[in-house]
Amino acid sequence: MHEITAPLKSFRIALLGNPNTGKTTLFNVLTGLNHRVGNYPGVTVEIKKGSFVHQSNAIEILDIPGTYSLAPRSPDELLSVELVLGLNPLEKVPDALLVIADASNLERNLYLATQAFETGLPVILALSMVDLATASGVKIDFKALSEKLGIPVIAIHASKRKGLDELKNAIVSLQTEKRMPPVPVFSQDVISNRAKILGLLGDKGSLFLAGRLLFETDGFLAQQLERKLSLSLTPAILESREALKSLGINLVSIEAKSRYAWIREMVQPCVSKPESKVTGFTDRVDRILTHKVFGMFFFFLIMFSMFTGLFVLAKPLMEWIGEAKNLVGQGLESVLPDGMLRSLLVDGLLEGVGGVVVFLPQIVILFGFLSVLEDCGYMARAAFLMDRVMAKCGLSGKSFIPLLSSVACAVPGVLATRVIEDKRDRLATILVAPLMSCSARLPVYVLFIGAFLTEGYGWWFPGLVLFLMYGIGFVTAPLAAMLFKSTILKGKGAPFLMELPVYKTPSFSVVFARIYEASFSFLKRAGTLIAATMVLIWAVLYFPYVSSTGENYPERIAATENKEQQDALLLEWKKNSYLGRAGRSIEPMVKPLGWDWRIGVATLASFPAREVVVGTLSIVFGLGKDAQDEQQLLEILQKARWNDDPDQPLLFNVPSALSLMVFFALCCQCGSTLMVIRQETGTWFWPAFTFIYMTGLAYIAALLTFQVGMLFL
Amino acid sequence: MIVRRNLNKVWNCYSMNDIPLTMLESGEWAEVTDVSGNPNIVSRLSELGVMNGCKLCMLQQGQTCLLKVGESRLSLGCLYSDCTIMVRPVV
Ligand SMILES: Nc1nc2c(ncn2[C@@H]2O[C@H](COP(=O)(O)OP(=O)(O)O)[C@@H](O)[C@H]2O)c(=O)[nH]1
Ligand SMILES: [Mg+2]
Repeated sequence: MHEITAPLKSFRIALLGNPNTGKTTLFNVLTGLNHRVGNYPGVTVEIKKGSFVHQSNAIEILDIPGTYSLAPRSPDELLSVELVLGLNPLEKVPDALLVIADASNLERNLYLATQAFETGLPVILALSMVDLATASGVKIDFKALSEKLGIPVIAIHASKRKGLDELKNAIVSLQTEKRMPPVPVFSQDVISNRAKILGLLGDKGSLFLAGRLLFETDGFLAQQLERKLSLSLTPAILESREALKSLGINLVSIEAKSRYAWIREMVQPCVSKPESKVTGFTDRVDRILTHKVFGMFFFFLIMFSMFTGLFVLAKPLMEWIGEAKNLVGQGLESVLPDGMLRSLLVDGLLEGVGGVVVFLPQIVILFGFLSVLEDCGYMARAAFLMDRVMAKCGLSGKSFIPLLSSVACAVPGVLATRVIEDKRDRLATILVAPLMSCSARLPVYVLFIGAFLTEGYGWWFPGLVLFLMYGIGFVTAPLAAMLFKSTILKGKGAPFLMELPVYKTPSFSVVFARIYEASFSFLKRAGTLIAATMVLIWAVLYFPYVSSTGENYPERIAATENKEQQDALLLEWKKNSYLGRAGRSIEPMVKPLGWDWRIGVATLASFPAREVVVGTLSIVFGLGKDAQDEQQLLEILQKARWNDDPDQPLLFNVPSALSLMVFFALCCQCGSTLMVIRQETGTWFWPAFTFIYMTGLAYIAALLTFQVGMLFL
Repeated sequence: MIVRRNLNKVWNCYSMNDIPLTMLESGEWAEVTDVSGNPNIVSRLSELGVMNGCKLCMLQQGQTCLLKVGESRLSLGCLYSDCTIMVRPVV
């Protein structure tokens, strides 16, 4: 091993840049950690920390959410600004800033850099996407630019590991030699008024902060600062603003105007670029993909193929996993003696956890699809197309991305709402995100579609039904949002303003990392939360195994040879178990939905995490069934009868299968989602609200589905 | 309809009148002459380069429009922002 002498303290740098400039990619390459990389603005909603060692210097880096400007208007942006300026009590001030700018759109990207220049910290400028810039005819003289700005300017291509050593050297040499960045030029009146405010700020102040207080007319930052630093700033700020206004200076536009003018002056001698045109690849593709008619058509085509593909591609893989599970089950049965332990391992754990793991292929394919869409740049187009629809519900296209992410899982979906600036819009999006069908609902859909809506229909039919099940979320979520936005969260939404990235070939490593991360957390969840819930469910279905009259069910079943008698005993046992009793007591409630107590039990058990429903169904319907019997859950469900009585009608028909699926589509059966809503809203009120409204909605919708469905039967 | 649109286009070009951005047709270039309204939105737009004097192209017209500004593509929910952008079409 290479010995490294640890320095006394590590050098801290913060990584700043516009969205989609390759910040996350650079961060991952530098620190060697894997993170999700998004190709739409604002996916980095968490601050990531990492570190690396270069020439025995420990460097710590902070990946800050991508932003166009250090003017905070949302909690997300405020956090970034606080971190950069050292106002966050949890983090020390960084020692330097690394600004990463997209070379193919340099002037726009340098806007943020000019703000970084005023923070009083040394700055390094890294230029990404140089390859794209060169391809579109932009020529940059890096050396001249570096000289003109007086700071290191380094061209990088993080994913190809180009320019990294140079960048690391520049970071390391900052420790000894501090080259301060230039100060962008404002008019004399602005400078003198800014200096006045700077004087008030004391040692926490910087030119940048003083400027912010002067330019920001909504007072958001001033309020935050007054609270944090317990200073009285407002009178002085107002006075300065009045003075500038009386000189005819427009405070709203002066900042951008001055910065861009200064940028142009710096950049002009060092950069040559062709006239802006709209004939590039992205623009030509966009002419179709963002078109009102063709674009929408393509959008639905993509969504439809995603869900059909999910079904068709995953099927063979799922069968393999199912077989592997059966093999393990047989192996366990051949080595374990008959009894409680075997029942727990085979019927409880293996069936429950295995029943969830079978859906791994679907998770892989779903996350694969979503991350390809995201990384190639299509996601932002989808948001653009959906803005008109979302606007009708009082939301903006920005809410669409969290909603679509919720198709994978509501937890990242709720986190992704942090990019929505408007508080009410954000809350409305959080409240409806769990209505989107997440991947945990997939097992239920796949099982019931496979059992009741596949045989006797065309090959395309199951995919269509699956698409429609997802469609429930896609339709209900906006409607619910519309309801919330016109009642409890009334107010005008913020306008939709979003940058669309250029199209590119999705990077394999990015997609792979997403899939890996998703599969890993899926398996981890299956192995921990789901497994624990399954054991619990198995137990409340196993105990008491002695009836009130003193009959020992397992013993009596073992003693009987007659198969029918065995089944009858089993049913009695299950009915009298703790869960069976609970299930029977709610049967009157679920009967109108077309369910019997066993389905009621499975639904009840799946409130902490809906995935367990499949495992619970296999326990409720199969517990103690002749274990050598190779019957799949699917067939058991197809043949199940009311009360397990051969003379009764089949338990499931199309309406009751649909009512179950609709219930699962709309119900809030996920502890993790409720926790994340609590975390993001800061109160227990909203998670409780979400739980109640979703469960009520699910019940009513399932009731309607079954009752209306029966009219057609 | 088409004739009127084209007439409009010709009229816009030669009269050098300022029109609201929402009236700019897909594929047309224009220079921004005035951005006014909610200061928050105006300053956010200006950070992204949409301010007096900038040249832009309407890529997709509509309630939510798609613009090319410099090297970037911006989508704006036109009708829902409380901010007016006036532009002068350029040939
Ligand atoms: N062509 C090219 N693509 C890059 C470069 N750097 C990053 N990318 C890609 O740009 C996309 C966005 O990068 P990401 O790291 O998510 O940007 P962030 O939003 O700033 O974190 C990813 O698909 C990267 O693979 C580069 O220098 N050249
Ligand atoms: Mg990122």
